Amino acid sequence: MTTIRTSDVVGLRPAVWRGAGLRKSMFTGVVFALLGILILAPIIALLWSALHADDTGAWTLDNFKELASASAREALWNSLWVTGLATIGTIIVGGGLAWLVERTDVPLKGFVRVAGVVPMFLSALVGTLAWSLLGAPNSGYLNAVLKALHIPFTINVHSWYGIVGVLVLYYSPFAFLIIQAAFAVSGGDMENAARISGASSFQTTMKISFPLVAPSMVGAAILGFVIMSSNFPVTSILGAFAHMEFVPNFMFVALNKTPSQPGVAAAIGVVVLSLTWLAIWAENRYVLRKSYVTVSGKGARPSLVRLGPWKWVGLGFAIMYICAAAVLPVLALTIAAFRRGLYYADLGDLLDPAKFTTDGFARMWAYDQFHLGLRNTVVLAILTATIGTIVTFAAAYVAHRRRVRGHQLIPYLALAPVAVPGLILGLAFLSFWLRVPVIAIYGTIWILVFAYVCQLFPFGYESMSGTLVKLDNELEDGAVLSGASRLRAIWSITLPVIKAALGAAFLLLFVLTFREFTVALFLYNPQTKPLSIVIYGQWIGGSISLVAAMSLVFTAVLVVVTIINRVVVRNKD
Amino acid sequence: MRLALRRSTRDGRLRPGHWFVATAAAIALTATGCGSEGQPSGGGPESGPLVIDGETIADEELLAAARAEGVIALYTVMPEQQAITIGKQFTADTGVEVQVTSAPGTELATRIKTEADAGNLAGDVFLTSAPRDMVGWKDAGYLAPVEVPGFAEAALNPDAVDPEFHYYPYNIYVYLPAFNAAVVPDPDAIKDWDDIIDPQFTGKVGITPAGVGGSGIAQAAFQTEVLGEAWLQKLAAVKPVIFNASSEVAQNLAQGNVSTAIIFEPTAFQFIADGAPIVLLYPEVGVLAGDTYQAVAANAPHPNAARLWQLWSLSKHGQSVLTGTGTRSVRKDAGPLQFPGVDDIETNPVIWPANLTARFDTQAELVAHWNEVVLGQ
Repeated sequence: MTTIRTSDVVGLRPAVWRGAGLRKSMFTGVVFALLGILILAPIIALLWSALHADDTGAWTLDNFKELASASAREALWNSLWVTGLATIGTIIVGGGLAWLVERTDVPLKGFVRVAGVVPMFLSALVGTLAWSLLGAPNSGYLNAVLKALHIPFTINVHSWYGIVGVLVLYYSPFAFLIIQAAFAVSGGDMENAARISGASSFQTTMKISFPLVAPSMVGAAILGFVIMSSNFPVTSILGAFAHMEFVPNFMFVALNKTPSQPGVAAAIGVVVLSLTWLAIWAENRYVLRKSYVTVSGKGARPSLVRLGPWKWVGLGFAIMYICAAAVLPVLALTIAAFRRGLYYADLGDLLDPAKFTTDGFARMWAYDQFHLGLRNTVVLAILTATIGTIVTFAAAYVAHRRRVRGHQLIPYLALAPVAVPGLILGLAFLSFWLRVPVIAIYGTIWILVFAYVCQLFPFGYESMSGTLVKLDNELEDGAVLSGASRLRAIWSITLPVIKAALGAAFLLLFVLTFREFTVALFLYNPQTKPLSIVIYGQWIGGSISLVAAMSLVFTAVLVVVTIINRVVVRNKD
Repeated sequence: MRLALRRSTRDGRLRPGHWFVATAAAIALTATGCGSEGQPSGGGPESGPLVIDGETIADEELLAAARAEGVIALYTVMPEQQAITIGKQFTADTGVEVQVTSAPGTELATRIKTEADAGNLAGDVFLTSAPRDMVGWKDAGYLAPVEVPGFAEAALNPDAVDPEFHYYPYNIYVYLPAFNAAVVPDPDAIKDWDDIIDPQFTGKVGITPAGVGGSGIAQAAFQTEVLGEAWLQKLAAVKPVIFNASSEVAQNLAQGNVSTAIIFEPTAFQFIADGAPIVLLYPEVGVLAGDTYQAVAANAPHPNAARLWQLWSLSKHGQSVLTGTGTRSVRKDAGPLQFPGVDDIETNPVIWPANLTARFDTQAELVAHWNEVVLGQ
């Protein structure tokens, strides 16, 4: 049978494709330019800042010398070991839940699956505030309960282990999603073979199941480490009592001291970025070089591990996790939102109905900054999700259709922001856009939008790639052969086919933008302040009932959008 | 538009084109809503000058121009809730809205410099406790002169007024020792600065660091020069908990997470009014008192509203609004210090005035010394 390729036919119509080629080049050029401006330029500006004196602008390495100070070394070391421990914790919790869902007969599997994801949509900022209410050594609600029950034990989240615990609670879902996906696509041949050869369930799990998903576990660990190492609210809110300095706080102080030291903040950013990229290089060099191929033509479903009575322990673990990460925090916020006054003598006083009031919500409603913050956050989320969806689709399209030179570079550029901690990304955007006075977007909402699009680019790109890779070119090429321009073919053929995927990507970016805090820290101004910044400001200001009321609204919006997202994703699937 | 939409949705299915049109419309709507300036919400005389209790604060022309601008952006070191309360009275008096950005002094200074360097200064009025920042901003051309008639004559410290009217003292801030009566074992035994750093409170003393703005420098000066080197070393020995904002100190003292603290007076009033068992101490040796300074931006986005704020907030009426929020006035003729829900406010404590304008050359050393002794850095 003779096969006629689209490109062969195209070759017969040079006149048409010359013009199309020009448009194609322009389209590709725009995609590369956007990737350059959104991703590369800020990172170069960060490096530039680190290598230049703040006052004279001369080349210097002095900013790096400042990193030899005791406080800088302490910040780096603390961030390294605390985030390292938290990373191990997220892999254990997220990986454990993923294993329960994919490889065991744990009851209520749907619930366990939801438990693994839900905390991701609560926001680490809100979770930290809630845990500060629950687990402060003197004023924590849980400690009031323990005292009332005469249990001589005090929970203290104002400690290094409190910081690790809160990080584990709110970042385990990232590990869960990645490792669960790896388990799901990993064939069961080897596990089944191990069992047939007499291996116990435990041996099979430890020697076959988990090693097979090792690359995903390492990837999840690196991603978790990067995100957690730049988390400002957790270390800022819980770290003061622990007398510990962390990288995000060090950067924040360096930028906000008199005189300000943006160069020093950039220098520590460059160091963290280098360490992150080193870890990714090591992953590629040492982990991914082995073969983990398990999906073959004869792929079999793995038989589930029968946990026996231990399945209830597994279910209990999932229940405890969702209680600690979502139920208790929401309960604490509800008490704080409705209770008058910050101080309480004991549990009876804390739950005294006479002290409950709706004043917190009334204050929230009368609070201008709440309305401004909520409006800004919705605008930011819509703009970021819209632009992000369009740009990531364009990048994924160019990368997957492979028709242009240099398309291999796109995945590297598109995924690069994964390796840039949020606080450093914010600083990089500040460094870059302050140097581009021609396009004065600093102080406008657009600098936040661009920064968010950059930060979330990998999420949108992965979502789009996953869809485009499954889509055959024939329909679109057929339209081109029939005389439509390529853009017209994309518009009329490809986009309608993947509209559910576009909707899912839009909602994912919407949710992730909505809960974002760290990137905005250096980039907002009074008119563009997002709700997360407003909430943090009020926490610092001590208006707990107002903070709790706003946090509940914040969480409610996220929950609603997440539910819509799930419905859309289901349709997409 | 209506026709096009009706035609394109005739088959009831959403196509990418519709999705983008809908999104574009949403963007247009939301983007125009974002950052829109507040409209005058009423308040004050409908026409004529702004006269309150017989005091003429602004002429008719300025009031009308300020109302046309509708809003000011206030960059302030004052706690946000307090600034909002004062701002609401300003809105009620003039019809001009107030947008508050509250932050510690160093954070605010960085924001102002960054925005000014980018040519995109969003703030109209700046309030800081660091006079050195004010002088720097004046020299850099960030500030506009605004003459406030009669202020120097009424001021407690006329020397604090810039001779060229670029900045004025706005309020007196007070930091004092305090404790939580519900968590300390013997409340009657705590009377003085020494008592709050007793070894029994190790890890339970809340403070702000010396590096946070002018008030931090003033605290370093007070603790070094008045309380002495031995006191500083005792403070270091109890491993104080360092918070970046004075409100955080008050919050944690109110919750009992720290037992004693060096606290910002108006914030303490707020928590006491909420029922927190905080006890404020006014020792004989004195409490720290310093001036904040207020100025109008040279390129203020709302120049007339900003001038009106300066005139209003420094007037006898504006300063009485200030004292009504528990903050001490810089004028001799302002109303009494009060805070709703707090009785027996000490109106005339012994104070140690932090004269930061005389310490420009030594403040870096003061902070470095404090950091070395207390933080070991």
